[in-house]
Order: sequence, then C-alpha cells, then structure tokens
Amino acid sequence: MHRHHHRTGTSVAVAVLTAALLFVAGPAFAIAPAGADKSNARAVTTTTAPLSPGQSGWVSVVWTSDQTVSGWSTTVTAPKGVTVTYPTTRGGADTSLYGSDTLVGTTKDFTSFKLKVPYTQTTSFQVVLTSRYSVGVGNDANGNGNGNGGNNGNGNGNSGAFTTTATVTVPVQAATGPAFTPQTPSLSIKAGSSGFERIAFAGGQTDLADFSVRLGELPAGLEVAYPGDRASAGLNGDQTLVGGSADYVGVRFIATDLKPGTYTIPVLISYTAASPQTRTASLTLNVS
Amino acid sequence: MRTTSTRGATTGRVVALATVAALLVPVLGACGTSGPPGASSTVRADVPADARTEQIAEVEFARQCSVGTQSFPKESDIDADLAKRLTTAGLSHLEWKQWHDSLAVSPQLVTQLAEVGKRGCPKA
Repeated sequence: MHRHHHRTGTSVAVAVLTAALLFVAGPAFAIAPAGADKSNARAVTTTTAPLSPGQSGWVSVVWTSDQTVSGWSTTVTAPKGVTVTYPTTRGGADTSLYGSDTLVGTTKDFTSFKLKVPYTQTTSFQVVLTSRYSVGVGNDANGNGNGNGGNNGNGNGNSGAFTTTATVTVPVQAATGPAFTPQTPSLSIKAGSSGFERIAFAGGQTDLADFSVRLGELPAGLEVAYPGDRASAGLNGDQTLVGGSADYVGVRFIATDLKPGTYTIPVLISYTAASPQTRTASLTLNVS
Repeated sequence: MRTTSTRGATTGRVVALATVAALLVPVLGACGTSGPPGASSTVRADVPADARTEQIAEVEFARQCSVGTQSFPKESDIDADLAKRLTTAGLSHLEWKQWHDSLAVSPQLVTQLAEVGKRGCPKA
C-alpha cells in the first residue's frame, strides 16, 4: 500500500511533468523537422565581385526563396590561405541577411562577408556557403545590418530547420593602378615651431602590410621625430594600409632652427605586398 | 516506515516539481525574450503599397542588382552604399527600415517589389 502510494505519487509527478512540458513547449518541443524543405531557398549569385591577389574586401551573395524563412545564418568555407571574416554585428561567427534574418518569400536579400586573398592566390577560387534557416517558425530578427523584423511563420505545414549550400566563384584579377597614392604633397609650418603633422596616403587596390614612413635627408635646422620615439612612423589606424582605404602617419617637425623658405624633403615609404617594398615620394615643406 | 515512505513520496513530488520548474523557466524565459507586446510594434502589418513604397522598392531592387558584383573595403561601406542610394532618392533610412520590416506581413509590398523587379536591373 505504501509502495503503491509511492508509485502513484511518482506517476502523478511524471504525468504532471509530461503535461506541463507538452503544454508549454508545444510544437517547439518537436525533435525533428516535419518534412521536406519546400522553401526552395537558394543563392542567386554564382560569381562575386572580383578580388585581386593581396586584396581584402566585403563581397555579397544574393539569396531568394519561394517561401518565407527565418533565423538565417550563413557560414563560408574558403580555400586554404583565403581568410573569411564575418560581420561584427553578428558576433563574428557567421553572417546573416542584410535587412534582417528573415527572407520573405519571393523577395531577395544578401549575405556579406569579408575575404582576404593572399598574394599567392593568383587564380579564381570557389567558396562554399552553408545557410541554415527555419521555415514556419517565429523568430527574433537579427540580421547583419538592420535586424528588426520578425515574423510568425507562414503556416503552410512545412516547418523545421533546414540547410542549403551554394558554391560561388570568386574571380581573381591582377591589381591595377598604383599600390598607394600620397595624399599630402605639401605642409606648412612656422619657423621655430615643434609639432606633429599628418602625412596621408590612399591605398591602392591591395592591402599593404607593415606600412611605415620616415623622412630622408632634412634641411639644416630641421629635426623630425616619430611616435613612440621609433625610427619610423606607422599608420594611425593599423599596420596595414587597406586597399581602397586612406590612413595617415604622424611626424613631428622640430623647426626650432629652421629658416623660413620652401624645402623639398624625400619621404621613404616601406611596406610589404607580395614582398617587401620601398618607395620614395617627396614632401614640400613651406616654412613661414 | 510509513513516515519514511511518505517522505519519499513527498521528496519524489518535490523533485518532480523542481524538475518541471527548472524546465519551465528557460522555456518561459525564451518566450520572454520577444519582449513586451509593444516591443514589436515597429513592424507595421498590411502596409498598403503607394508611390513612396514603390520608390523604396526601386532603391532596394537596384541595390540587389548591383551588390553581388560589388566589393567594399570596409564593412561600414555597405551601409554607406545604402545610405547614398536612399539620399539620392530622397528617402530616409528609417523609411527603408520600416518598409523592409513590414515586408514579412504586408503582401502588397511584396507584390509591388515583384512588379518593380519585372522592369529589370537598371543599366549601370
């Protein structure tokens, strides 16, 4: 009797547990997708924008689907040596769609990710995108750029979590144009002054690592110094002059004994592209 | 013995209830992440299609046409590209955002976007 009572208590507890779980969790407690994926979510893009050896850039792949899908998450697999970076807005582990993580049926949206192509990669390559999403399930939108959508599913009886993959070609083309362009042809300072001045550079198509600048032969009465008392000045933002971006170095001009006039000063620029390089530009210094 | 047995049954119920509670809390918590009812009110349902939404659809469609062939040096350049397109069309980012968020619950907007798409991608 006592043991029977004990079993009854346990049975009741288990029944309560089961009922509570089914009531609260409902369909979300389902273990497996109900059926096949009828969304036909697919990539529209077969070839991304071209990149050059040594270039890094954000490229995009456009997606569409026949039915609304949500909770979109894409990861990218690239060949060895090619680095993939995901948007910071997602935490860096994956990418989603731009507008939100919901792809409304028959519309398009795109995923973006950054590829860094090594200088040794001189031919086109393929990346494989694996996208995971849910069909017929409500979501909290959380896309790449402006996630604030959310939907309640399409109620078409086609629910569950699914995956689609797409193989996309990334064309690799030789870089064109200069490696970089000096943006500060001249500077004006006061005789007797001492202060930092900015010397700017615009990146070319590819990334230039270990970008540093020092000035060559100086006119009598002028001394220069670099941040941190180093032998040269590094970029303000990063050690790399990113292709398509601009940055600057800071150089302290100590013109305590410099007479007014116009001086031409060589600017020695060092960086690493496919190999270490050195270039010389010139700076016109106007001293008043 | 009876007392012990009763205590055992009570203990069993407590454990069961605790288990239920432990399981319910995260489930309810997950529901709670969707926020209060007013939190999702920024998404407008059944937004009617009009000339303004057609303008937004045109901007978005044109962007979808070109984004696959573009590369951007910085992540923020993708946002800047959209901002430039919207500004050129006399639209605000908020308008675009509300339009985009409403797509999922506004069939008229989806139909209008499809109609805009039938015109094809604008020439570069």
